[in-house]
Amino acid sequence: MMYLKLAWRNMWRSRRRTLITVSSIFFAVIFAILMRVAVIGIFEKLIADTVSLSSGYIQVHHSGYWENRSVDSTFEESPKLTAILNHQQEITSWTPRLESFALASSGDRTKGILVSGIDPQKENSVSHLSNKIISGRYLSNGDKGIIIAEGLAAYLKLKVNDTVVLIGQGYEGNMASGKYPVIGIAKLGIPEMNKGMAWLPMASAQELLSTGARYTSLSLLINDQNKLDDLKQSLIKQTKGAGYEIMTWKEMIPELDQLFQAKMAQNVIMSGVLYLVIAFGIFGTILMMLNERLHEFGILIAIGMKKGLLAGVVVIEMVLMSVVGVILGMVCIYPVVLYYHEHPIKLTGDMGKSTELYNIEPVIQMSNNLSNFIIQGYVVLMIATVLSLYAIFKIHKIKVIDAINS
Amino acid sequence: MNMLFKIAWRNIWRNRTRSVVVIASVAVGLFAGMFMMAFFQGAINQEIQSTVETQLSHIQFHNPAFIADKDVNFTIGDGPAIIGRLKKDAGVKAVSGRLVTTGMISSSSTAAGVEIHGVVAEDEKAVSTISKDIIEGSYFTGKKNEIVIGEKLAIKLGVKLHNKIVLTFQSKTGDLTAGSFRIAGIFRSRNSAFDQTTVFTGFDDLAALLGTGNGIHEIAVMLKDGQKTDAFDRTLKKEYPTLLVQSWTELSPQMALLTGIMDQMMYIIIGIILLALMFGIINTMLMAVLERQREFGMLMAIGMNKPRVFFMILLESVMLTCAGIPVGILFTIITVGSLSRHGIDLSGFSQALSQYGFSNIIYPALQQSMFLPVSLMTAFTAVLSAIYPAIKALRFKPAEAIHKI
Repeated sequence: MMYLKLAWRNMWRSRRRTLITVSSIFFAVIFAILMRVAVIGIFEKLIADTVSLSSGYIQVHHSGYWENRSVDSTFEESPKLTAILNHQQEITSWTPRLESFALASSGDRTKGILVSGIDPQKENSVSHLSNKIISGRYLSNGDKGIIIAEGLAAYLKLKVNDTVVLIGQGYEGNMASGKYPVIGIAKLGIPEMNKGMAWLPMASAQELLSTGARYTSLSLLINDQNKLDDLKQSLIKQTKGAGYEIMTWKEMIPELDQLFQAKMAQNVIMSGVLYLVIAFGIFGTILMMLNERLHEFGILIAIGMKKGLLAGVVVIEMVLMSVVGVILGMVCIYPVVLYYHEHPIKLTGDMGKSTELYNIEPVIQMSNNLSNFIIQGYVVLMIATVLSLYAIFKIHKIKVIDAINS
Repeated sequence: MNMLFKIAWRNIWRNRTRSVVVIASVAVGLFAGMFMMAFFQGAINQEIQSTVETQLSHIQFHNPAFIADKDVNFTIGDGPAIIGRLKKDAGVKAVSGRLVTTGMISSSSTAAGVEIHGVVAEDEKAVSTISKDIIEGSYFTGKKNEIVIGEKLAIKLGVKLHNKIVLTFQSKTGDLTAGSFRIAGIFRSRNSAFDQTTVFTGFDDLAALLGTGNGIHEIAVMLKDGQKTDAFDRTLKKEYPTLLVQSWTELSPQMALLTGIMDQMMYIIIGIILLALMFGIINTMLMAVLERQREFGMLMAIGMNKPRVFFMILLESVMLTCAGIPVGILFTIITVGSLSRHGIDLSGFSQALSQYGFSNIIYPALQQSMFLPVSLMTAFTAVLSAIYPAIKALRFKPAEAIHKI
């Protein structure tokens, strides 16, 4: 208790010194957090953009569907499943889809594409497809037309109100073919999708593929990435025996996860370098502080203070200041991160060009995931604590006479 | 001025701990910046290398009209002659002429969209590493109508080695044609998206179905020295003005996208590191200046004016920075030099990486040309950080400062 009291008084005795030390920790935490949320944010956005249009974070489909993506592995809507999905709080929205590969042709051109039968309202809550329409309009429920991706429209030389022919394989080997007027053209960020996707209203797609009232999948959006696996397990448990298969985006789009994992592993090294710089900053401050107080320490030891006790007091001071710095840093940077999460930083110049060229929005959207703050705060606190142990060594080595005269 | 130099110089030696801390901060800052760039470059090189070897090759030739929509009518005029000419070139390692079209592959259970490459097995082996990624069967045995597909696609289609599949695509005349092929080999490359969307057939088999005769859609060139790609690219562009000659940098949007993301990350990270360095130095200098209040008070009391105190502090930091930069450069050359030979193994940081069969070792590539800009940036940051503490020192009142302990 006495240690704590002494440490507390020392901190207030030299406010200026305390302020400098606290600020060195404060800035360290801010930089560590900023780097983390910016890097994670870039990938969270890439993942969100990709999965919302393709697999969803989690997808429910007929077991075996993912292996061959055949429209034979479809399922009918079940009130029980709907109830389960609507009941889970982690699911922000979900949408049914009926997807199949087909050939799209117009004039003398043909291209293999993915046709997706959608419920216009629900689809929009998941992928915001209506925001991506660049000409024509978005689908509404009774429509008989089609929306096609911009790259595909360019290849097939289609404009709004032109007609496109779809040919494919329907339910149980039935021939699938149909003619559809183009209602809208959508521009997608992911180049592969932009070149080969089209959307039909659910009823038209079910008619085209002769599936009746069946879907190939339900795609789910969730509000917290950290709960991905838990939610999957919980859904599996609840739907056991109904013949569904539940997969996460990591299983469905492994190459995206692969990219993410590779970058995150590289990020470990880069964070390491940042920590090195941060540690040096903090260490410099601690070293200077010890230097400045050498005279004070000398006198304390001369009048009978034990070196161990003195070292203990100094370490406690340092840890207290670190805790204050870390908490202040986390609190101050949080609104900044939130702001840049809501208002992503737009990249301009060369940085923006390379991404804009391929239609990925040239923005950095900071991640607002709280775990980033806690982890970085913890790491910086650990660095500061370990570094402050240097004081024990330094105090132990003090020669009283030299110290008093310094 | 001369006197200021002398005082600053002596001050540096008078308090060695303080000097060492500032020198070390500058050295670490320089090292951090250089290491980052080397590491990023290494990571990019690794990705480029694997993409170039499996998919892109160094340089590709196309008919300019072909690339836009892969219409099979647009073949390269006198393709075989160009291949013959390239094969004789001393700088070229291998050349492969390909037919390329998109279509639908179907098994008894399902269908998928694929890009079909008609290749001459012998030539293609030397250009792309896919022949080394065969996990079942072989890379063409020489029989008619054989196809080599990716493992992912095989699973999706529910087919095994030696099964038959049907390819459907548009022929030269615009009609839909279909051909039945037997699976001769199954490959697994590092890029699972590529595995799922690309299939290989014999050149002649595909040519017969397309009706393109001995027309060629794509010529892929592998050079002996990848560094010379740009020079080669320029020469060939001049030599064949009617054809579309592209180096891999122009060819791959995915690659450009990836390097684009990498660049963004690099700018952000280097910016943050420099800022962190700046605050580190500011704090250290501030502590160092405030510690010397008594000293400055004394100097001012015996008649040194404020601008001189200010310049003395700045001079000290310039000198320390000048000492720190060579130390940083030396340290960088030693550590990054050694890492670039042995590589940095990332497998410890991500189990998923090895699971995907992704290469885990990154070889940082030190860019000598970056030493100057990074040194300047670090020096600028360090000197800039000394200004605030120096201004702070000017505000001291001599009489009060002397009495500080």
